[in-house]
Amino acid sequence: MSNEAVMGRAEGKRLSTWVFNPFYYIAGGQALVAGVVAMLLAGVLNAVTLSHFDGVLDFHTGLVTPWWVSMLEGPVNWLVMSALFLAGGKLLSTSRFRVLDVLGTQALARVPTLIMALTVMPPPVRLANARLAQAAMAAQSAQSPAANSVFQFIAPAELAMVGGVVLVVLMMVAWMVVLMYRAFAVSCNVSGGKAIGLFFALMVAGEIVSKVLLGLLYYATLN
Amino acid sequence: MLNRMLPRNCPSCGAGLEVKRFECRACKTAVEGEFTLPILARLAPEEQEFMLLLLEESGSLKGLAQRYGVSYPTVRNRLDALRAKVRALAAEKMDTSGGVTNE
Repeated sequence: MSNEAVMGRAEGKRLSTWVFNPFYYIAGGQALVAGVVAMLLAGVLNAVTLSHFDGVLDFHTGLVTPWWVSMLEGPVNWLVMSALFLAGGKLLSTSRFRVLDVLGTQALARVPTLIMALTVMPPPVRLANARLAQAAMAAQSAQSPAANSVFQFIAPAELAMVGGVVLVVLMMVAWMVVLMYRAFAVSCNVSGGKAIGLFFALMVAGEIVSKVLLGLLYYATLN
Repeated sequence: MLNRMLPRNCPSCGAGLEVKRFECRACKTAVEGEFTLPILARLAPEEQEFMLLLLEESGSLKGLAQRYGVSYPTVRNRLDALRAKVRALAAEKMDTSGGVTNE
């Protein structure tokens, strides 16, 4: 009898399982190491491109901060969500689960942030982003925003490229949300409507808490 | 030789089956009555295999996870589901036997 049959899974679903539920195969320390390495690499890339994970589900570019602020953002978002999912698991789960599995799977669930950080790395994208920021500032300072067309600052092809990057980033955010839910479900052994409802409530709470904490960090470093 | 599996459910209506007759292989003496299958025998073959492997691993979920090539929480969740099923079967058995088991 095959291992997957014994574990109650159908054969031939391995690729989709690896993509959308890698926690079936990896959790605990292994997931923690892989996730933290990805998070730190994303932090290094963000320090170079002046990009920020300024919230659990946020990714923005342009704010100039010390390099270590970019390095801290990923871990802050991860720890906030892990703490909330631990509390949620205690509330909903009837299983005894390990803190290491919650931390590890939530770390691995943030691997898409590395791809997000990579999307803004190519020089043409960074240039287009800078021009777009310039256009936004000009529109803000102008008496009539319509007078300052964005195309005075950025070519249509560049704008399309930025649109493509935004699309990829949104896809990565969606993938990350799926991974975070699967991480919560596997590590705490929860499922069904209650688990999904609690997950989204915790995501909202996590977004607020992370925004406040990172806002305080930006305030402390930039003032 | 064909490995014939113990039927657990009625092929017609799906309800659990009971043992009605035992027969001595040597002298063919038969004992008839109503005997409920033990709980472990009422589990699916893959669930029985899971329990046997858990015993082989001395109850180590980490060892079992390594053996299956899956994560620790995957094995633990499977065990929790199995525990719930065993509890339900035990409760069902108590209901049908009026609180007395004939094992």
